[in-house]
Amino acid sequence: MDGSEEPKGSATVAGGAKVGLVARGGRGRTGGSTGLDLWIQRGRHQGRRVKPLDGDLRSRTLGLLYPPFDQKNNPIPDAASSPPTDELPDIKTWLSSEFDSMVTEGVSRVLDLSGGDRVLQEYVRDLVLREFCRDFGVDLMMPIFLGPEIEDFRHAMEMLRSDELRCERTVLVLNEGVIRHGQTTAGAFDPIGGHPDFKAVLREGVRPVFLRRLTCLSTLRERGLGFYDVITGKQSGAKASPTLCHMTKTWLDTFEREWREAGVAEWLP
Amino acid sequence: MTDADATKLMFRKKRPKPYRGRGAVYSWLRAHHTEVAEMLAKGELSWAMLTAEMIRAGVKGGRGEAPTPKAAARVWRRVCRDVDQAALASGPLKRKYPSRISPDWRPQVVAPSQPSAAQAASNAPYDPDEQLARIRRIIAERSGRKA
Repeated sequence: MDGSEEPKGSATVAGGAKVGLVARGGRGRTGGSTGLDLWIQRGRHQGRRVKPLDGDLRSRTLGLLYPPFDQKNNPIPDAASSPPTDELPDIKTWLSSEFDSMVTEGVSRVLDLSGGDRVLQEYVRDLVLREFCRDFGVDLMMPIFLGPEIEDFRHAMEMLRSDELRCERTVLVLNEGVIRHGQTTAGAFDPIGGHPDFKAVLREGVRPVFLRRLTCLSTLRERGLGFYDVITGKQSGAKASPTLCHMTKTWLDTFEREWREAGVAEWLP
Repeated sequence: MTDADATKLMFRKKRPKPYRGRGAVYSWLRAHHTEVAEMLAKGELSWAMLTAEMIRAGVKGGRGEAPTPKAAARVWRRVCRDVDQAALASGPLKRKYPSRISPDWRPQVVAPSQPSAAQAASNAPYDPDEQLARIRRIIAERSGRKA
């Protein structure tokens, strides 16, 4: 990938809607599911349909956040989909089914295969995913989440060295939300920011972005509050306090500004 | 056409197979599992529409009462669980995904789109050194030190 190469404009499929596929790469426990949740909520808040694909059967984060039924047992549209088992053939069949629907329905997908890079790599090879997305006008984005563990970074570099798991819209997300208690942001990310491999992949066109910690995230989750419901006052049931609203609004505003400055906000579904 | 009429057209008539310890609602939902799952996934079906269709097919609850949307939704979850378990028990899983693709579907030729103003900002010339400096600035700021 050449860093000077500009990504293609958003293509369209049925109905003229912009359709995107976000396929998360990298190791687990780097806060990727939370990042994906934010993008799903953001897309829906802006009036776009986004369907979560939860291939992480151990934690099932997206599956739990986007269940198929509400408390009154009414079906919820665009609920998270999951493979029936974590066996490779089942995951591949499931992915094919979902990607078919993505193209024919014109609905974006956000895929979480936490720590499932081997699956993704095999599937990408089988399908030639980049070309598939290009041919059907789907914007493919591959975010790789990084926590403070240098092993996460090494794994990400290995992944990026494999040309199969790269696309024009590859993003390295430095996730402040998963740094350890007592550790500073600099202590967590300076070794990454100063690493020659980091600079090298940036020169090859990979975009670096920073995702700040939202200190009230666990409170929002406990109360079942969405980020945008809190700031628009649309929440049902538990109300958000002014401090929760303010913290969430500041976090979302900063996210928008920083991701726009990084030139990647428009890549989100 | 009312919702109920529309629903009636969506299901082919099938003779539900009885299941031990399960009622008629369960048998009907299990007989139509594939179609119901597909329509629910597409958001094309409400439980009210579905129960209206069951009532029309003569399906009744355990005490002879008409099925309610809430009860049907509860039974549906049991049906899904049992279908999954039956598939697992029958050896190597060969789940048949409902095809959501119309037989008339053909690939569309995608015309290159005109980038919007916002996209143009995203597509601005990429400067890796500037991006690196930006990230380092944020890290420094978040750590309370000067960049």
